[in-house]
Amino acid sequence: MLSEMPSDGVKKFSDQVVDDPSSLLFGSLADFYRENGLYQEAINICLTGLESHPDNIEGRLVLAQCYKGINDIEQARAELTKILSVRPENSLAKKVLAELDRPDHSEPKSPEIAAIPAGEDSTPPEKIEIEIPGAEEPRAPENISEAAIPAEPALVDPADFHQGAQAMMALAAEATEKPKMEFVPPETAAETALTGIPAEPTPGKTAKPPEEADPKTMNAYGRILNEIIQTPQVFASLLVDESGYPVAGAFAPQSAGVDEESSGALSSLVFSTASEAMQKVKLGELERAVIDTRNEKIFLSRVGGQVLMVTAESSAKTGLVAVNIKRAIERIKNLST
Amino acid sequence: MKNILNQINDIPGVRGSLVIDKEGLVIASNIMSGLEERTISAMVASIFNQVVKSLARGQEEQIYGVQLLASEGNIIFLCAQHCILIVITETGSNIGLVSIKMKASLERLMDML
Repeated sequence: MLSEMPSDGVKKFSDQVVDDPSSLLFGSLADFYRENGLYQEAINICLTGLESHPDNIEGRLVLAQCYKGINDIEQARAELTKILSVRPENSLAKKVLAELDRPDHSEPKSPEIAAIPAGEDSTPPEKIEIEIPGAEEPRAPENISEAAIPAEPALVDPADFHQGAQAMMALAAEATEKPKMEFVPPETAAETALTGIPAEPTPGKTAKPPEEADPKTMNAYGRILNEIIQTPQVFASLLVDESGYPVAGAFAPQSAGVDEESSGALSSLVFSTASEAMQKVKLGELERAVIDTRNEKIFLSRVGGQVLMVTAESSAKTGLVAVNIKRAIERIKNLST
Repeated sequence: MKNILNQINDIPGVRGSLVIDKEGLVIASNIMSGLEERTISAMVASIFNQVVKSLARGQEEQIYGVQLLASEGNIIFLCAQHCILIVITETGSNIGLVSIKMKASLERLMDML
């Protein structure tokens, strides 16, 4: 199993985590091991990482999935409960917890998959086996590996279009050796088309730094964002890239309930709309937007090609927060250069 | 209404002010030449609706105001139940003073509307 992994990537991740035990990359590395069935190694990485980052949701989620993988249901349940006490909206944690409640701890069958809100199913599709009634044997293209062809295909309701389509997409992706393709249920596609906002990115995956980013820079981003939330009444800071994906974020305990993926995407959308408007009225390039609402103040600031979102209580001192944001922006810009 | 806008415009650095409804239609305006009131009102209404849509997420969220600070000027708007008061200022103008004046003016406008 491990031999099939891209060893360079694993080594890079491992080295990073060993060199810096407080690295936030431990969740990604552990997830990689977990996906390849090395549960005990993944658990060890998570436990070490969580000593430095007890609030790291991604790491805890991977740990819960590992416990589930080795059938330690009680431990898995305990970890998921911890996550949901901090982030009650975490859909992946809810999903895994629901799976634990099933007698065989398996993933829900297709009707339940369809019931999961768009974009929230982050579990990579496992091998999907279908049998087409009337066909003698499923014929696979020549270059599909034997592993992809089920020896004893499980019966799946042929009327279930979603699962069938998902299986076809998975097979096609393997056959062409392209990156994993995903079947987008019609609800998701319609939602994306209507709102113009892509479906919520996969929890735990999008929070990872971009592959080309230097991990040390990512840690530095984290430290800068952490300093912003030390400002009184500030409870979240999030750096979002041009496309709305979170690059790094820091959240105070009172920010429970903030969904970083959707907040990031929406902030980016609002900022780009406002930016476009300012250019149309010939007032130059938008540098900062402050949105004052009944419950909170949202500060959106341009940092090169990225947007820094800071959320504070509605009674927060705008001037003080703005000064700290300005300092943070300068430091982030210095890091980038 | 014009008087209220004139008082706002007396603040140094203010280039204009206008009152619009939430659909972007101009109710009253007093802005310097070079600024297009229709474009500004349409843009502000568009931003306002975008912000409401983004923040609400199915819940009723009340937007008090938005400050947009750009390289060549600022747009500040405050929202009331039926109207939006917009002020356009130069960069480097006293945003705090403008905000205080705008709050007072908005209350007077609400009484009028």
